[in-house]
Amino acid sequence: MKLVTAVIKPHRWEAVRSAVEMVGISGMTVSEVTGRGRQKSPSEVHRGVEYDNTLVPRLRIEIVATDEEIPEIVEKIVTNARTGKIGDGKVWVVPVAAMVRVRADDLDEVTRVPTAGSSAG
Amino acid sequence: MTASDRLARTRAADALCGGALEQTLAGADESGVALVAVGGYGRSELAPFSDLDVVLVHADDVDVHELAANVWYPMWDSGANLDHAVRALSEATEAAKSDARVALGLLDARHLAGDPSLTLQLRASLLAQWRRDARRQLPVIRELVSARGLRLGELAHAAVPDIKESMGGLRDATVLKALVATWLVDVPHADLERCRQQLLDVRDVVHELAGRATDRIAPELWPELALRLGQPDADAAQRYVREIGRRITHLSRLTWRRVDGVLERPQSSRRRGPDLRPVAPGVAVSAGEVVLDRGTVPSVDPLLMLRAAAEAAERDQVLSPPTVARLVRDGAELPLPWGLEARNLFTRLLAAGPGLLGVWETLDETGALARILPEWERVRLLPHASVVHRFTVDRHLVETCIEASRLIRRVARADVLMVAAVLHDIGKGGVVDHSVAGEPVAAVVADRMGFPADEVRLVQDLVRWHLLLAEVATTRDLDDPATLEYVASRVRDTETLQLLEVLTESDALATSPKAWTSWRAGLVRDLCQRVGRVLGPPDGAWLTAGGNGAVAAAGTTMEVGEVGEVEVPAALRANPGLVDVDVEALADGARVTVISGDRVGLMAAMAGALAVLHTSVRAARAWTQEEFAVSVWHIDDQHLDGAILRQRLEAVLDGRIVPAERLRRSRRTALEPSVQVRYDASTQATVLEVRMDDRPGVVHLVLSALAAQNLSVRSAHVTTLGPQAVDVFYVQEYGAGVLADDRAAAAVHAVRRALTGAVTLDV
Repeated sequence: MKLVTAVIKPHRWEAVRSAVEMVGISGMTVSEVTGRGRQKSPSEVHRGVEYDNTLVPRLRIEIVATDEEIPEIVEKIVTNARTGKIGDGKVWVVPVAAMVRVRADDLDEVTRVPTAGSSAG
Repeated sequence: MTASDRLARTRAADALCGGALEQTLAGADESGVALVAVGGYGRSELAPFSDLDVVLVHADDVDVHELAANVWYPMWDSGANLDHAVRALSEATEAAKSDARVALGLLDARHLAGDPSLTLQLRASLLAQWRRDARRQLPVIRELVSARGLRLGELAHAAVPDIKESMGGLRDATVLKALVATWLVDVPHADLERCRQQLLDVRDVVHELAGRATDRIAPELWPELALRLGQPDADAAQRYVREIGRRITHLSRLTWRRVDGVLERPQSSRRRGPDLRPVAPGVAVSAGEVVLDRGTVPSVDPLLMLRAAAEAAERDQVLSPPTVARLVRDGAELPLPWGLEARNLFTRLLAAGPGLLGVWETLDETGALARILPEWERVRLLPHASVVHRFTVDRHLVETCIEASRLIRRVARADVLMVAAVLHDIGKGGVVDHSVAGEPVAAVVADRMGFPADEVRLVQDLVRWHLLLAEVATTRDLDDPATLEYVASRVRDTETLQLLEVLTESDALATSPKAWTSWRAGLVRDLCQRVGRVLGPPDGAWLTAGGNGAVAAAGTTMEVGEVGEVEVPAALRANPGLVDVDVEALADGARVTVISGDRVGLMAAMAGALAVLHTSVRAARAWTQEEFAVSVWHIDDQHLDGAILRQRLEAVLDGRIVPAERLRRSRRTALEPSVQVRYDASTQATVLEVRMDDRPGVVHLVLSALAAQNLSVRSAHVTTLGPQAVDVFYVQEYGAGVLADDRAAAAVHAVRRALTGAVTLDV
């Protein structure tokens, strides 16, 4: 069981979502975030106010899935989020020690491998 | 679901409660003990699942402990939802005194059983106390009412309204009745009672449908509710219920304003007769309400309605409903198309800020809006399809105007912005995309308002593309030049882009705070920056012709234009220290030519003299001819006396009158002025653009600040576009051209300092 976290450009959201859904994953957590990567753009003045453009808006997607599903999910995210330009984002995978569904209250089963499409949220 | 059902339920409950006491007393002496119904039960308005609020009242010297327990048991056993209390008479009055909520509940006390004289005594003492303590209690109740309104929203607009607790619901109607009981204010009783009974009917049905005591109308309840209320469909049912809520909100808001007026006046200083204070032509303020001035004939001045509305909204005061009703009945129709002044008044109204809400509601309730903006009917109380929205469509449009009014300094055309803000969702309610459906409607409205063709086009574009920036920013690749081209091809120029950006922000803020997060704001800002670079800087011509263009199209052009050489009078040649003033009346104002020996500050002095005379400047132009300074001014006063003007001008030049001393701080909480250098506008002079509220004295303040910097002003173009004056000054060094960067920065700083704090001539 692993957690995939992807930070992508906002306009790639629809493409990434439908691609991930196609492989049977419907549960995910999506947040509107800002951040910066290796690329850096100078601050800009707009309407007389200086804005720090080094923090750019991105979407963060989090999905928990079985080890077997992970490669396909990552592949779908990467191919659909890619525009080939700077700032396309990152995807990383970390192991998940345990997961409990709040509704099911299955505390005894914290070590059991969840079924496909389980959500982090 | 009728009053008779409620009465039957009340009778059954009365029999139960009364029987319980009578059975307990079992023929014993009942003096000093009474069972009373309070709250909704006291008013005999029981809904199917209402609580029975009862109080066992006893005289202070009677012990009822044992009796009380025996009374409640049979009532509990019957399964009734009992909400009970035991109070001595003195305790009841004391509790009502210290807690306004208790006082409100006890005002409706109704005798059920026991000693009737005790109930009578309770009612009499509570009512007397209520009237005596009204001035202390009312501010507390007002706080409770507004806190509840903020928490639960308005019955008329909330997505899931609460018939009882939402603003404009049953509780507000009850509070209104309590306000009337203070004898300080009055309300239209028949109107209020009708609304109350209709809401009670709705509540009965909601209880029956839900099968429990709930007052919230969940979205899925509307179709069934429509059926039971005899309405054709869910939308019609919504309109029916929300209309009642709006009426009660309107009455409530109006009554509270009147309470404020009463509380503000000291008790002793009641004057006989109306106290009218004129605030604008034909418009006065009386007891905190905007009314018609003494002797005003509604049928003569077609602008009265708009003027009164704009004044009331800007002052955040009540626009008196009887005044509006009279104007609707007897007022002159607006000319078609509207003139510039009507447009300015209307856009001032829209940009008035929070004061717009109450005034707009009054215009709507009195039928005035149907005359000013008949298209409003399309969206009146129309529910939004999306749950993101806090309000119905009409209220959302008003809220968008209120949000936009805070951002007008960011655009040159505040008037166009406000009209687009009030119309942007006018196309909702059909099957076609609302921005497509709204575009032709907006064109009809803008055309009727007399906007020139290119500005009608601008209003249309803003309505058509009001979703463009938000949609593109979140769904398209901003790094792709095609995306920027896509937006640029629709927006066409930088001015439109700036207007659209402000409209997008206002629209989102009015929708809900969630719709304008810093994340979304960042995306839209990024898109606007990029598209702005594609479109290039604002067109310089806009600065001088943009505003004047609007004036010219309305047929009231005051363009100074090329005046050419003027003849210098012989007396002035002999003594260049003299000032020659010539006033020439025009169709809608006057042209004043001032010639004098050249000196620093002459234009500032002239602007000051005009400000002292309460005369508005529309445009001015200055040049030197031989050793003389010539300036030509276009002013809006057709009957200005040249001799008086010269006298004032000389007094200002001699220092006998200091206009700045006559300028007081504006009473309005004005937005900060915006002062910018427009580098692209001219190669001959440095162009300063000042955006601020239109108030007499502004031109004088700017010109004085520039004179103090030893700068020469070649021309001033003063334009009022609804709520905002856009004044453009062509500034030069004496005997030289454009200002160096540091001098330009110093000039901007000096002008901004002179204007900040909204120091204006308060008329």
